[in-house]
Amino acid sequence: MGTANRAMVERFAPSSVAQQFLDVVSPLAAGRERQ
Amino acid sequence: MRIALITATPQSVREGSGTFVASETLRRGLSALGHEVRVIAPTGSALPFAYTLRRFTFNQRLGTTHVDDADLVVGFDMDGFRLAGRLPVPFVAYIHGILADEARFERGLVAASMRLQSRAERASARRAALVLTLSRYARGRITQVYGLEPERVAVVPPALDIARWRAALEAHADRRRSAPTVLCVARMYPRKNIASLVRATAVLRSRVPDVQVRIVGDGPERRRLERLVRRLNLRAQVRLEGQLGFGQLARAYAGCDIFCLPSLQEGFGLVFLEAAAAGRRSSGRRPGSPARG
Repeated sequence: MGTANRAMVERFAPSSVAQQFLDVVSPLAAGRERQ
Repeated sequence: MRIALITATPQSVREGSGTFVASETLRRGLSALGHEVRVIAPTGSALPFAYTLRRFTFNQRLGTTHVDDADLVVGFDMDGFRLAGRLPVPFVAYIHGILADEARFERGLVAASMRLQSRAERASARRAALVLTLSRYARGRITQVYGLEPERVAVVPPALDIARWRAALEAHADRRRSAPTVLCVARMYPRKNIASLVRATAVLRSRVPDVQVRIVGDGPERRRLERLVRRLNLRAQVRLEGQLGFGQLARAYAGCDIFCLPSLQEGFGLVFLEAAAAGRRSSGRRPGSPARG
């Protein structure tokens, strides 16, 4: 795999995507905790 | 965080295709980060024509008690639509394919069932605290077809189990065919536009006589594609492989020179990512372009 391809694919690693998911949804959960 | 994932998509690659792969890989990623993730899904599998009925039945039976231990509830596509807006915890609609958008390219019963499901998906999206989807294209389409404000829709791409793919691909690292090979991997629906690839093969054959086109997958278009291959006398060039297991699929990616999927509509197109993991270049078309043209 080429370096550019490898770097591109790494963005979609499960841990990376799971972190993106959490970054987006965490404010919703945090808002609930404050209520 | 305790997260409930609601999905009626069949829990296997064979039946659930890219949506299952994306939800399952997200589940594993969240679990690896220490979160408690529970998948709420129907048990067993349904025949294709019974899938829509089973999906609505599954949703009809879902109650708030099914998710009362969760801090966050995520409904995939239309699933969980009856819970959206009724829970004491946030409900997130994670839309992969955009049923209303996909239905534009389908025919007959498939189109009718997608339109029916898209009403539930629209309801879920409109009642959810937040809508997630896989790409900027999908985000744009969701705001248009479901009438949502863009700021209510965020993009979180699908995940790929890179370690598993690398291990499988390395086993076939030296596997290159002597004949130039084009690979296509898709469920055989009209929106995947596989017939275009078959017709293009007739043109390509005149320039690259030994070209091989391998089409992996199955679906309602299979008979039509088989007839097209026969009519264009392409049986020596085009092979309809049917569904392959993971190891065979990795071998197919490793053995191709270029990947091609000329879809008319894709929420993301996980197979392009799989091809990139195999270090192969891809050819496709701009999603949604026929609707604009």
